[in-house]
Amino acid sequence: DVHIQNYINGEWAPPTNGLFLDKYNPATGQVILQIPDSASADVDNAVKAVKAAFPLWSKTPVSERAAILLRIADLIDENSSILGTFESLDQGKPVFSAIHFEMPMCAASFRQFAKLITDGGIKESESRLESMITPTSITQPKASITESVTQHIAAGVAGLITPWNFPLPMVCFKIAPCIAAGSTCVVKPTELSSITSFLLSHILHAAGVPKGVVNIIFGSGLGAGEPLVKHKDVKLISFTGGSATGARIGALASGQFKRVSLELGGKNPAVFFDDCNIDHAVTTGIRGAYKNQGEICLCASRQYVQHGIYEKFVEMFRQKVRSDIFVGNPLDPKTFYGPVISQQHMDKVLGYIRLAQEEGATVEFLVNPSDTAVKGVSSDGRLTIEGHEGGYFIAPTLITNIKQSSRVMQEEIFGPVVCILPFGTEEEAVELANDTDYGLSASVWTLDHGKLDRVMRQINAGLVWGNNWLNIDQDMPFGGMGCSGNCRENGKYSLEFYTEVKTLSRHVFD
Amino acid sequence: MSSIISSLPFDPTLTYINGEWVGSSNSQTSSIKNPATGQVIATVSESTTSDLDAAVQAAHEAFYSGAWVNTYSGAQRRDALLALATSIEANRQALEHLESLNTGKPIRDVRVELDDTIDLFRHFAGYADKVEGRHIAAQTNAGLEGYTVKVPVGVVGFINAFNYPLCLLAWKVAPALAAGCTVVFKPGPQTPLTTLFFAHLLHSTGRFPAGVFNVVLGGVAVGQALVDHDLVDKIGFTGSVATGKHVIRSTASTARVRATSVELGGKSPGVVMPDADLQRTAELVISGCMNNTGMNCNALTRLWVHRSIYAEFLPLLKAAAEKIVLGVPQSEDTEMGPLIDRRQMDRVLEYIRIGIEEDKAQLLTGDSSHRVGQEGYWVRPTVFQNVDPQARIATEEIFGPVLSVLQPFDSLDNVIEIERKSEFGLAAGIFTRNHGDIARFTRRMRCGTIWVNNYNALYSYLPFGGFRNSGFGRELGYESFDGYLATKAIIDDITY
Repeated sequence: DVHIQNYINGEWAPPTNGLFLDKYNPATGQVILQIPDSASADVDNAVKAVKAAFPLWSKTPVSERAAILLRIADLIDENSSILGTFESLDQGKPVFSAIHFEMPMCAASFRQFAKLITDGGIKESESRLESMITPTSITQPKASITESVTQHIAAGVAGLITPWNFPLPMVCFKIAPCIAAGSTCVVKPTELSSITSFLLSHILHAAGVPKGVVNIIFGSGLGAGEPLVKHKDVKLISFTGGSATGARIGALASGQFKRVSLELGGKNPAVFFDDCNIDHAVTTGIRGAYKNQGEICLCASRQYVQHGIYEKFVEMFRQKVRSDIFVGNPLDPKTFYGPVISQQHMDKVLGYIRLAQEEGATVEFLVNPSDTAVKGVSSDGRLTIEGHEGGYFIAPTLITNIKQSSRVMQEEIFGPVVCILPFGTEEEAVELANDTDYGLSASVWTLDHGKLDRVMRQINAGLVWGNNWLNIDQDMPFGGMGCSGNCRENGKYSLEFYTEVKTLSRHVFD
Repeated sequence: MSSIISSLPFDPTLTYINGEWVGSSNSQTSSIKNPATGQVIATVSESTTSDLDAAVQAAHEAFYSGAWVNTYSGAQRRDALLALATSIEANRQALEHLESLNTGKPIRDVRVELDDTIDLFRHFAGYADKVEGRHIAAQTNAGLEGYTVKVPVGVVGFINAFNYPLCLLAWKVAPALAAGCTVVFKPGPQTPLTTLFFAHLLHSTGRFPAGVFNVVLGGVAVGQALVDHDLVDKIGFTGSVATGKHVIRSTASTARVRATSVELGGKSPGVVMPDADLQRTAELVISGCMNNTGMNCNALTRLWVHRSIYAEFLPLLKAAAEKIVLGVPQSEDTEMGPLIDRRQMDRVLEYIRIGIEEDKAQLLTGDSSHRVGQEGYWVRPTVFQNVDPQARIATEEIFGPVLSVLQPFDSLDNVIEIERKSEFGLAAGIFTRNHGDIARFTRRMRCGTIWVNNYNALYSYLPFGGFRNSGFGRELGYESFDGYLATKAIIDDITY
């Protein structure tokens, strides 16, 4: 009967109310451990600690802060197998991917910000200008030379709220820039996958992060997240998650002049022109549809293929999914994707599949015939996996012949469900791609240089890929337009969020 | 035409030094010709070495007195340059006529050059009040603060070429003045007139203290005195490789060293791939070569055409070249004017002879006489075909309206390998729709400017300059402005 604990002020403790939530293994539907059901009292304790730790941490020389970040990165690397395995158990993602790609991303994040604060990007001060102020009033009777310096100093106490699709990376992408900039934080990871955040608290402690600088409290959005967002001493809120929760956070934080950063969902289009490299396109289209169970805000969940190659593309897509994609036990190295995160989420995804069926769209479940672990497929796409009968598995779902205006095409499903529609002209492709309330990412596929550039520039999304998908340079700004969010993260953009700008303007001589 | 000279609002027999209009100290003069007729149109003074010394002293004094840098803040320099841009604009017609008269450029071309000149002064004015240093808190000792301050490099001497007298003046002078430098400017000996007009407009704004901008006139002797002068901090030069090398050596041959930035010419290649729009490409290539009668350091003068389209493409090139309208500069229909002087014309005609007799290259267009008419210095647009890539006409800079179409090629990667190591490295162009080919070409070529599906487009905000024998340093863009600044670092213990 395993309980994880809150990490406040350098110590681990149960929640003050003694209450816990059940956490289920998505691959089996069984309870595997319990997490604190923290409430306002725990939030208050955490914020008190983090506020007390701020003055010293913000004045700690950048070289010392950087050294701690590098130690954290090293400890993550040393423990990547354990961390990756627990991540897979907790979230349902394939273990190979978790250990070999996602844990290194976490370490890389700490290294990147260690480097940014010592080698470039924002340091404690930035630009310095000498200018002449001409007389404008009786208080400034003489022309004089003034020296202005802008400083970038730590902004203060942050509340970080993270999602369940990439549990540890999401936590690291926020903690790293926050403490690199000299700010301090209370982290409230998602209750749906808290294990690796708990393990991280031990790593932070071992790396020498001073007590109180990072506090991690576990619980639900309502129980722990809301009090954190509303707390008067929390100055910055950084949230990654669904658009509905993001809207709620924005509303809760208003009136207190907090800085709020929201990274929300997406309904990302992929546009394939006749003159694309079709093999590369289909392979990437499949990854874009089903990677991480389709639980990536960047998934290419609506794909538009030009008339000339539409039939061929869809047929290649079908065949390749059936032959290459295995769904099942996340610990099996053959598995491409595992279960979705929870019962509730599975019900939501299956609901969209049923909606498409009711609307008369063509809904296909592309189950691999040689996948012997699959014992059955329900009418709405749920898979029964041998030895994991209670798990939340959904078949790779392909939807065609659906209307652009369908809720299935417009709302974020966040599961292994992709819609593919044909299009005619370049103009039509742009219109279809932009017909959405979201605007996080998009990809464009053509070998024609001018067309590639033109179309990429016309799509309203924060991140547009050309002839690739999910190539992310950690120094380039990442974030969405419209309902996808209101901020940019990565590199100096993340650091900027956790810093305050101050101008010092000093008389030099007359 | 002489009415253009007689109605100038300043006296062209004088030059502008230390805020005053003065003649040469030994009354030397030189004659300025109209290349369209070969006739003398004006007489200007020729500066002596003591005139040059007076100009440099004035610039030096103006710099160190703080007349331009301290008393004038960045914002005031900005406003001075904006006022100058407005004045150039108000006088643009007179400047256009004068430039066309002095250089033989078609009137429609000089209009574009005036647009660029005005834009350049406005663009670089915007940098003047944004000279920022960086302030960096030292990393191990919390009490030690470090910061950088950028200051103007000092007195800058410019030696300009004859091919874009006013426009290249703007390229050089706008960022230098914006940065707070003071200037001694020597135009090409054949083309001083618009430089003098510019000096008149600058003086008339009343916003540039005496000595901030000075003009000296003449050829080799004055130029040498300028590059040798120990009170000059930096030399900016546009001209031939041979002279450029001499300038660089001179800047290290006296008591003090001077910084240099040199722009030395090129033999820029173009590449036409099988999927190019052939008609449009033919027109772009011809104008890329023949613009300004080929007197353009970045002219496209050696062309690679893919074997599969060679036979189809060459007639289109021929037609585009033969369509060019040669005529008197004042005519709105004229597309190409004369070469700048007899010497340049003789040089171009000699290269055409070398191409025919020594390189044994075959003419695609151009007739046996090549020179057009007996007055003025016109040479007909000339295109050679099937030229050996090592031929003299294909490797040496001609600086005239002569294009060498090389033997057909098969592999773009081979072309890139040859061109990225060539003697020159100023510019290149590629014509294709294929994204992968464009990516490889733009990433692997080692030259200052690469044009994709266009040619010769330049902007005030994008840097321009060479690799290898095309020179070093950049003009245009922030990089050029930064070239007129020097960096100081100050380290300060605030716990003391």
